[in-house]
Amino acid sequence: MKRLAPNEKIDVPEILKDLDQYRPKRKGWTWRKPVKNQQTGPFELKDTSEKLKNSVPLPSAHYFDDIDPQCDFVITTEIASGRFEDDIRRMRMAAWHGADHLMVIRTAGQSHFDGLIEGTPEGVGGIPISRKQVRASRKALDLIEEEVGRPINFHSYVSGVAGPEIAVMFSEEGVNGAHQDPQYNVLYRNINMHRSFVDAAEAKTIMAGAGILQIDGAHNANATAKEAWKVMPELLVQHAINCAFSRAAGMPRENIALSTVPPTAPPAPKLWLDLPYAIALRDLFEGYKFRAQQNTRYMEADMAEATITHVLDTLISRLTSADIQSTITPDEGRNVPWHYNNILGVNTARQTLMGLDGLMEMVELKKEGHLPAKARELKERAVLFLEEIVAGGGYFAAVAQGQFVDSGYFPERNDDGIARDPGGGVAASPDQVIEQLHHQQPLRQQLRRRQLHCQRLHHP
Amino acid sequence: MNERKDDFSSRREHLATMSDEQLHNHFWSLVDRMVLPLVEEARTHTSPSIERSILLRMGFSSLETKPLVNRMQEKGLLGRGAGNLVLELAQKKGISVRQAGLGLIEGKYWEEVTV
Repeated sequence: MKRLAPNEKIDVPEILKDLDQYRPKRKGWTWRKPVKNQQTGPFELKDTSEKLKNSVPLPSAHYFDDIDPQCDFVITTEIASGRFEDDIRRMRMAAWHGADHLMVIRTAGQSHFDGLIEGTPEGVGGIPISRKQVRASRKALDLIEEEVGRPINFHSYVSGVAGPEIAVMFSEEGVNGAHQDPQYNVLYRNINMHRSFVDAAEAKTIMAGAGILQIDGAHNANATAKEAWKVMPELLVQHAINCAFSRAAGMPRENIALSTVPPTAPPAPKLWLDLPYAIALRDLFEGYKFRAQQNTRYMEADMAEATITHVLDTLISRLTSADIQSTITPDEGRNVPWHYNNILGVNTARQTLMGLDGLMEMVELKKEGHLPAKARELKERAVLFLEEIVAGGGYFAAVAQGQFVDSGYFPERNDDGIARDPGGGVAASPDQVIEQLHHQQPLRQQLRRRQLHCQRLHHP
Repeated sequence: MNERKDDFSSRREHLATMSDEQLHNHFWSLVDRMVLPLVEEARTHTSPSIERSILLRMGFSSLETKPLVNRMQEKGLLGRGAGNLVLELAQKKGISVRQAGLGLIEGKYWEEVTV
């Protein structure tokens, strides 16, 4: 396939040519390669990774010999044009500007499609995730990653009523990361809870076989809660449910990423509230990965205001830890993002992280006082939340009673949580969750083994 | 849930003496207890999407998996597994898995596929 030339547009007909024969060149997630004490122009930088072959530096770089250091966190941007040929142009721009986790938003309502979508239909607020759209995007990304000189993680969503099928398609098409959390189906898409968990187990098994990094759905509680800082104890619980369920399905801890968002925004005392929460999370979930997302809950139409909140979010990532720093376009509060704002979001994170380079060699977080005391309190509130669920009959009963996304700071309850009927919701009829006869098990196990074997071939 | 005032200070009394490590272990043991029945239901049950995903892995397209699974569902056969049914039919008739699946979509062989 012809390589990309930096001054030429991506040739869309070339991408579509022989697409039925195209196979991704690699599978599974790729982390950046950190380089400690890296000499970059006149500076020795502490928290960076390998440089790119082709890139666009931060705006001020021309005062510093056009240096373009790359931070040690994977950087995400979300692509949501509604057309794959437009998505791949945005992806190329983002890759040149330092993003290596490109998350393709799905079209409105795909969660309720009972099966795979085919072809290249246009979407609303994202593309319909079909095999053809995914393959065309992956093919373009395989060219783009060669152009910039760093592997690009392609990401979308394994949720809704077709999760297992989408997981199979993603594993075959070289998708590297995916959201998968049955609680998202239950709470925000009103998909039947039994169906959601049964499907999720299979989807997670398939994702594990393909080395796909999983990101959970807890950030949706931040975005939904009336007062996002009060949902912090529950967030710890939501993360834990998906982590434990994923591990039971065979997913290794290092492929499970928590989607965590600092809950508040100024004029709230952001670090006073959000930093203890970040500490509590990292204490409880040691060994898991952290996908730090920037705040969306309190964004309005002012892009500077959103950007400043996102700088503070990124500061929290550096003060604690993150494996992925996801960015939010500063115009997302009012519209589907413009191309340029993908770059603005990425640059916000990069500029902040380069400015904070070496910070933790100079400062440390206090081991006494408000910070550890509040972290401990949050953990205790989460434990009490769990005790109440177990005493009340388990997860399904708790959802039925509206235990989740209540605006009270647990144990406070305001009787305004999201309640779902265990026997109701989308795909709720009795024939949607079917008891297996035992002789079905061997074939499913065989398919899993075969998938794992294929994966080993890709990752010697 | 009924409205309730924040009674954290009294409710937490049994946690107050726990070390951080004990608290973490208690947290995860509660999580494991809560998740256990969800895992067990997933282990013993299937769904149309899971069955279609198995047929996808056996080489059928999404346009083929849908009618196959729908028909099996109508006949109450899905608990046996869509993949199993196609595989056993192929072995019984000495034809390929693909031929067996396509035959079923065309309306053939159903009398040989039973619970």
